[in-house]
Amino acid sequence: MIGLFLCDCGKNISGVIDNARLKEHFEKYPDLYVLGNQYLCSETGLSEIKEQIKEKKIDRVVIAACSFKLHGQLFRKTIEEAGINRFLISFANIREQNSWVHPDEPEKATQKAIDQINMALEQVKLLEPLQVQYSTVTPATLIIGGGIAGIKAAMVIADAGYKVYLVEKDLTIGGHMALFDKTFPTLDCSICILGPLMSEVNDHPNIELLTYSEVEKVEGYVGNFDVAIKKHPRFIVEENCVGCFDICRDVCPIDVEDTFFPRKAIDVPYPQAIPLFPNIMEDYCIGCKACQQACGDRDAIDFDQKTEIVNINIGTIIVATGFKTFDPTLLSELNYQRYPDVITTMQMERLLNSDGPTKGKVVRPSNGKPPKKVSFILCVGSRNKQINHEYCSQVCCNVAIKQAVLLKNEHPDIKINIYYTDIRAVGKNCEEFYNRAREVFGIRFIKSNVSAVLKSDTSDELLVRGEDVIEAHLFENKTDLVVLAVGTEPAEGTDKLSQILNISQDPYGFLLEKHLKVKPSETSVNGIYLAGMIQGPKDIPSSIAQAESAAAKAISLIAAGRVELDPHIVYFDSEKCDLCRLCLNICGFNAIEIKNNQLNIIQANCTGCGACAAMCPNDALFIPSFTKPQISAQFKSVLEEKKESPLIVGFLCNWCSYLGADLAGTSKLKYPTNIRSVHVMCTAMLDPALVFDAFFNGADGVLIAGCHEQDCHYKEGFIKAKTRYESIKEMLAESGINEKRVKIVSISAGEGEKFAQTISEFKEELEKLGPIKPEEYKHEVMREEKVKEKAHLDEI
Amino acid sequence: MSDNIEKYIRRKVHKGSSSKIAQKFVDAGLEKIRSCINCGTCTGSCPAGRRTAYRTRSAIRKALTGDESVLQDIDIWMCSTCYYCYERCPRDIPVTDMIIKLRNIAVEEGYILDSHFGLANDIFYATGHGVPANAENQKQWRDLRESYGLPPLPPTVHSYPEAVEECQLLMKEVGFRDLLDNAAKLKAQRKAEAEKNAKEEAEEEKK
Repeated sequence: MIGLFLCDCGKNISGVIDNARLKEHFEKYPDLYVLGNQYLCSETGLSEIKEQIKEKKIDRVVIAACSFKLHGQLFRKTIEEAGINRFLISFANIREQNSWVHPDEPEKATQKAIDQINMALEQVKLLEPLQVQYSTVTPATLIIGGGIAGIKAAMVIADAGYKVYLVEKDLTIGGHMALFDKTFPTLDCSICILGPLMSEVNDHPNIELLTYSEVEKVEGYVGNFDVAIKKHPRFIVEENCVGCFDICRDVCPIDVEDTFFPRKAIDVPYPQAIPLFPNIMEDYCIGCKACQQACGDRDAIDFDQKTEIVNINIGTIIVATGFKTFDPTLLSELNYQRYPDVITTMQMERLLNSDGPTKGKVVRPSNGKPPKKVSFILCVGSRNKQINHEYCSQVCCNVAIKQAVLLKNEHPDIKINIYYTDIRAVGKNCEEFYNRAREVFGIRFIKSNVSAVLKSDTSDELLVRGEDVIEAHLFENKTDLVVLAVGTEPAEGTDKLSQILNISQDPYGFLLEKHLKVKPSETSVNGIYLAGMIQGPKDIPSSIAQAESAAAKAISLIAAGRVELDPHIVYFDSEKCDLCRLCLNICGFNAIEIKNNQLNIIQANCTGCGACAAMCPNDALFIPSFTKPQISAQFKSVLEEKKESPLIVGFLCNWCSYLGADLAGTSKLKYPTNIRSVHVMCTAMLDPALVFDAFFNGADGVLIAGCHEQDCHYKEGFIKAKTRYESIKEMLAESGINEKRVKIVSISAGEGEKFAQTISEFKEELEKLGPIKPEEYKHEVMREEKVKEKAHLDEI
Repeated sequence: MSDNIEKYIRRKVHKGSSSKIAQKFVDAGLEKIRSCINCGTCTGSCPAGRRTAYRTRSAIRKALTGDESVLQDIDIWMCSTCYYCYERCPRDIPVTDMIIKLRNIAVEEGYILDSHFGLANDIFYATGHGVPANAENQKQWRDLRESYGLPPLPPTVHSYPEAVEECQLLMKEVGFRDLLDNAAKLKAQRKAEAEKNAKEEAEEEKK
């Protein structure tokens, strides 16, 4: 017995749809119990559902109400409490995708509701009970990157009592922040606030520090990652070294010359480094072993040290690898590196830093004299489409203002010009800081994107050329020192890391979050989180906020001890498999492998996009609740007797287009009633055979609506669907169906308007084509095998 | 509100969002003009602007906001199409193409310089050559050719005077002739109007 529960939703549904007629209509069905309620989601509504389930011995449920995105979980819980498996439920969305969008056509809306309920009934009949699977979580976290984000995340997790491995590529933790002089807008001494945190991390019993190390390999899945870490040789025996570093350094005869980071061949990066071990630079060391002698009995120097591989097992990963600054040599007109007095803000930071090469004295690199006029140039490598850096780097304005203020503080006589396109002093207290820079410090701000930095013919000064766009006049201003406020880019090696971790990158190379707004620190891979600049440009407070949020996500996973695995993942029928390996290629999540000449599904890796199932020539792979019969039964029920023409069968993806359609509803946009939507997880799970199935059963048009390529929940799901669409088009031509009858579009969850418009336009197009006739396709029934064969050829 | 103020607002505010010129850019596939952030890179990079009053950004800005005075601005003809602005524009706007389009629009509207009209009408259309060599005063070029052992006139329409007509037919077919005629007409109209206005003003002053 199936239970059909109809909701009036006050007048929201029954104000348009004739619910009494629905009830009358469905009461004629055998083995179906129909119950109407004013508010199904209310306490009374829910308890009535439970009562009726028990009383009428109902074993499957259809809810005709609002979008399942709203109360789906509530209804699932309710039927579970009444003793039915929570997956034996189907939803007819007669509010967002019906009554709210068809208020002027009650007759057609009621007919559509009947169709929608029929679709749900056909689907629910074929559903199978599913069991939620669990996987244990190893209570340890790997944090990649020991900058401020990594440090903060490590502290939160370690303080909660869980093990943390903090891996840092450099010799010391601290990252960029440790190299800054002061921070904006408070002008706190950077190392003074970071230094104590660095020592705390070093001393924490729950944190294991792996510096000068890189992640080589990551295998496994959420809760159980196996990680191989490569530890580079420092040529120092860490157990023996006490970190005095001046004894070995002072005897070293080799100076490694660098304007901004001068050091000896054996040295520490800076005195506050953590861990405070020196290292020997292999490329510079001449092997005189003076340091070894100086170290004496401690015997802390080992010239034979080799690269080590450390293997660890962890449950969650936080990526906090940060950024690198933009290389301004790409913009040749700025003449960086050609003229020594053109420096970057990062280099300026070293000049300002009292631990820096000049002990905090700002000088011109060309002659070592203090500058009288300093020019800052903003937006160097930011907001520039020419070099594929369309984004704003967020921090450079504030950095330049901060450095200008610091300079003015020390040397009130210096004249400072800041050339800007727009000042974006975003962040708490930053606008006030910017105002102070103008008002109190008298720094000049000139609105101009500098066109070139040149050398004066007559003196050793530099010339800054551009247009003052407020005055609309050209200038060529003399200056002693040019500071380029360089933008930020993803850290070195992000491409490789993204492959190791299997996380997508955005067009600029930053690692992609799961959702920009609501899941900013999660990734498409379960159990891997992002913190700090690697997700996109941000300042220190935002990096820390994100680090702590990532840590909270990691802790919640570890504390739960187990992860619930969505049962809507791929299942496998080994008898049908003939090892064609098509699925192996299309899976983007390493969920399918071949072991001992047999296909093996790693269910923990599977995201349930169904791209493989749609590929499988033998139907050996399938996603429960989204199998081909379960999908085709839905539209067949509508096509048996077409009540409207043209009739569109829509396949809407779970993450974007279904929500877009819901948004059209909540925005009360109107569109024609001619669509019957089938909910799929991803457009990639759509087997081309299903499209033809719809046509052969009389559909006039098929709409495939998925995410925008870059937002796809399954990384490349929509791209896969589009590839498949190409072969669908070819097959349409072959079978004589007008290719305009299939439409593939990207509709995001925020594009309700686009959804409504798409339906209206598609309906008009189909009206021009007229209803589909059996003569329209030459072969009345195309053998399914053939359809698939073609698809494979195209995709291979 | 007085009519004048209303007119002013309509011109400054309403036209700003739906500039006729900007629309022509969009129609020509140059909708990128809308993404200009007024950073001044183009003007600052412009070698012509350093010698003349030509300000790339201002010209683009006027086109974008519908200030049609830009069409009669002699400065837009100063661009040497060196493409510096295009190369450096952080918004990847094809600035040089915009200027060329702006010139196209200017000519369509009858704002053509006398020298350009002369070149197009009296030389290019009349002889089929941009730089002819068959006139009386161009003897030194013919001599130069001969000194290299070449015939005095190149094997172009100069050598086949009957082909000039074909060239002219071509120019008519592609609409070049109409463009010139239209420009000349508009220009004459405008001139007559200006003269009339000047006369009226002078008379009024007399009164």
